[in-house]
Amino acid sequence: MGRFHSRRYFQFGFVLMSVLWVAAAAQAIAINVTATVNGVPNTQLGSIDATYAGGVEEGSFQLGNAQLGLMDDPDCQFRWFQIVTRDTDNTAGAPTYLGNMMNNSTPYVDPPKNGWDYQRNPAGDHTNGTPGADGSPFYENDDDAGTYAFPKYSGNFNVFGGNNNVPVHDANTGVSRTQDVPGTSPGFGLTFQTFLTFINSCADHQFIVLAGYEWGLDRAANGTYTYFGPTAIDMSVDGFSDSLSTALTNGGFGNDGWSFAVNGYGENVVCCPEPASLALLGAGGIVLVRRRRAA
Amino acid sequence: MPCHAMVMSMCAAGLMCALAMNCRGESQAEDAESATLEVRIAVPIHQGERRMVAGSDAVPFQVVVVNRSARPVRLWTPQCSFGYAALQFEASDDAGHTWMIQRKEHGFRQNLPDTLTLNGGDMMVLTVTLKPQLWNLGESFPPAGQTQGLRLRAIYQVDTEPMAKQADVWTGRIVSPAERYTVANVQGGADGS
Repeated sequence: MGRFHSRRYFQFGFVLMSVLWVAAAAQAIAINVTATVNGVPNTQLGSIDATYAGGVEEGSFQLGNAQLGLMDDPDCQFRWFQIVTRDTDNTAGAPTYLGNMMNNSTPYVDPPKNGWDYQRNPAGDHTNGTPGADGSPFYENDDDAGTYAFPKYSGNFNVFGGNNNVPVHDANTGVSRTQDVPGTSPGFGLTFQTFLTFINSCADHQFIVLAGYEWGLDRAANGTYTYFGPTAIDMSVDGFSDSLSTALTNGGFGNDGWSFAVNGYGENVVCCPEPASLALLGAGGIVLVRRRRAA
Repeated sequence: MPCHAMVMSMCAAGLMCALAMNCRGESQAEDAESATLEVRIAVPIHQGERRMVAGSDAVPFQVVVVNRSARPVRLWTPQCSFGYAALQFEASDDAGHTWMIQRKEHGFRQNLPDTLTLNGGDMMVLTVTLKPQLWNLGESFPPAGQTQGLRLRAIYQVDTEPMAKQADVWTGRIVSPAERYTVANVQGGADGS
């Protein structure tokens, strides 16, 4: 898994843009997602529709019909991964993570490991409160016990502020959704980057960053919000992987062994068992430990 | 208040209400909605007093919201911005000061319009730690290191706003009975959070 970036190790190949086209409209974009799928390069994987209107950000990934098996397979998951790249709020109104403001810690994963203090129960109590999110860097919680705040990977939520209770991940239709309604103190702003990722059970704590979009807000001193984005992210720019690695560290995942690959460098979107891994297992006697889903 | 003064007040209130469009209908609707929920502070009398420990070393206590109706009621969860500040307290001291104890406002990053449903008889238990880092306790709150008798009542209030309408979330205001509590403001710990 040499192409996976850890905090200490980066390897870049040639860049093949995974985002082939971007249809932009006011506060809404569509991102075509291609990748090497089951060993076939430049395969149409699906598309992301992203909107940010009225303070509500929503992303919806529609897996292509030809690839629906990827979401049906219990060993594969499409997950959302979100980082904050701009957060300067250093007032008492800034949210805290383990009692600390994050204004000096950008970029960071949102939510950080085990969630924001306000997501705890009791809300805000980071010393006595129970965690509001799981220990994975993904936006959704693995939450069969129903203990965390939101959203639950296998659960439902309402999109576009409605009372429609749609699945976060729907293997039947191949749709995966994300949503956020953030805010900040007057006089400050936030920039988010939201990514669709893919994980399988081949390797522990590894994921492929497929595509993403940037969006954010600024709040004037009088409290008025202005919103910008979403815009598609060019993942081939210098420093992109460094930013994600730093975000993992700042989000509290630095010692957990998470690594990632950026789509466009030949990473294979495939469900386990991966043929290459099986070959290695047979030849070298390598012991593969079945990964726990998003610990 | 003399009887005629009370009648005058009621007339004035009625006039104000009539001047406000739909006031009567809306207030009836709110009353009907509010009647389905009840809020109580779950601090019973122990050794002759209802005791709370607030301050940086606050001891958690519970506030219970119960659905007294037969039909389901949808509420915001307290971990999202929409339900974060729904619970507040009205406090009054022996000197006659009355003030509100409210959650400290802050920004949210991951934040979804998250709801839960109370079926008939179901209850939502809210754990409260009255720490100054989390709550605006108010200037009249007992100073650190002191214990004082306060009358408190819990207020659970969700304003009507577009997101609440779209999510079909309960809106209204319910208030617990006012009771006298012995409130200690205990100062300790390093960060006190």
